[in-house]
Amino acid sequence: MYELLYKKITDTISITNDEFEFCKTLFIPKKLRKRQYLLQEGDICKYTVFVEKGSLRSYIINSKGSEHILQFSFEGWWVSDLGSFLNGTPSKFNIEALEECELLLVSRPSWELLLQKIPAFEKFFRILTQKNLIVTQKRLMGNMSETAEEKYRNFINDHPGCMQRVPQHMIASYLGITKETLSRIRRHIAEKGKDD
Amino acid sequence: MGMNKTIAVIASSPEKASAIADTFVNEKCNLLLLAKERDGYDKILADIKKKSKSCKTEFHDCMKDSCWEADAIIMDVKMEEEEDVATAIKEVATQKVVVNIGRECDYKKLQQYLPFSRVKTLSRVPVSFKDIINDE
Repeated sequence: MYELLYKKITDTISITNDEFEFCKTLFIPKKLRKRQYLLQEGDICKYTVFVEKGSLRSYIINSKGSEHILQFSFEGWWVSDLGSFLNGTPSKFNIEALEECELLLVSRPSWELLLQKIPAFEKFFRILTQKNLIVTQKRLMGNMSETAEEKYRNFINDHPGCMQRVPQHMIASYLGITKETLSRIRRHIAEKGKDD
Repeated sequence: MGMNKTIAVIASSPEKASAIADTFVNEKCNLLLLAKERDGYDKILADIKKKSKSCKTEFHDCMKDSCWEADAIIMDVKMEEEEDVATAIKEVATQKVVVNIGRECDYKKLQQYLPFSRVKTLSRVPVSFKDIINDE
């Protein structure tokens, strides 16, 4: 239940077995079924969440009722609405399970306690935040400057195995293109013999 | 909006499960009724379905899996059953509210069996979800 969490933590920082046992007592094990929500728009995001198993999508619905996917989360990833989690404000996000998920949730008070009792976790979450910022900058630059095909190719490189787990229309939403454009790009790549 | 919370109900009889389930008919939640045998539970499921559109109810026979899904756990079991139930759910009940409403409940013992859960004892069946999640 905590194997992947342990690996991800110890890949970044050193903690003792006792410290990890303490860490485990602060996480809420939660199973989500496919299409169940972890967070819905308007709720306050009370947890930051580690994905042990499964996949989720984070999305918003604009004023015209269209969905825009901000992020997919897979095994070993963290997912949350950080603004809502840290500020206690209502979220604009929806976070939905794409498959059955096994998650580990940590509340704000437990997270603060973890940082206080095991200071190495300050480094862990700093590095996590840094990586997230780099990925976010990369995505922002891609949205501004890349062609649809470049966005698709980069997405496949960054999310190996995703095509088998995420419906095409959701990938299109994430990339900010239509389903038809995505299909055209995939056909074009296949015809060129460059598909992965 | 607001997402549906999931509550696992572990009761030593269908009648006790029904009494607990009835208090949630007006709540937006998913109730997982747990027991080894299904006898008597189909009627409870049908009754809740008639009374409520917001409360979805299911029967389960796997305590661990259901409590893993649950956001909170309500027990109405005999004192001699507490330890076995706690052992079955301990791994998946960390940081979850566990309420025992059984009259014979030994709160301190239950907290010992579930050291990392938030054990509460109520003297009456919960009226609303806020009774069991109010300190989230």
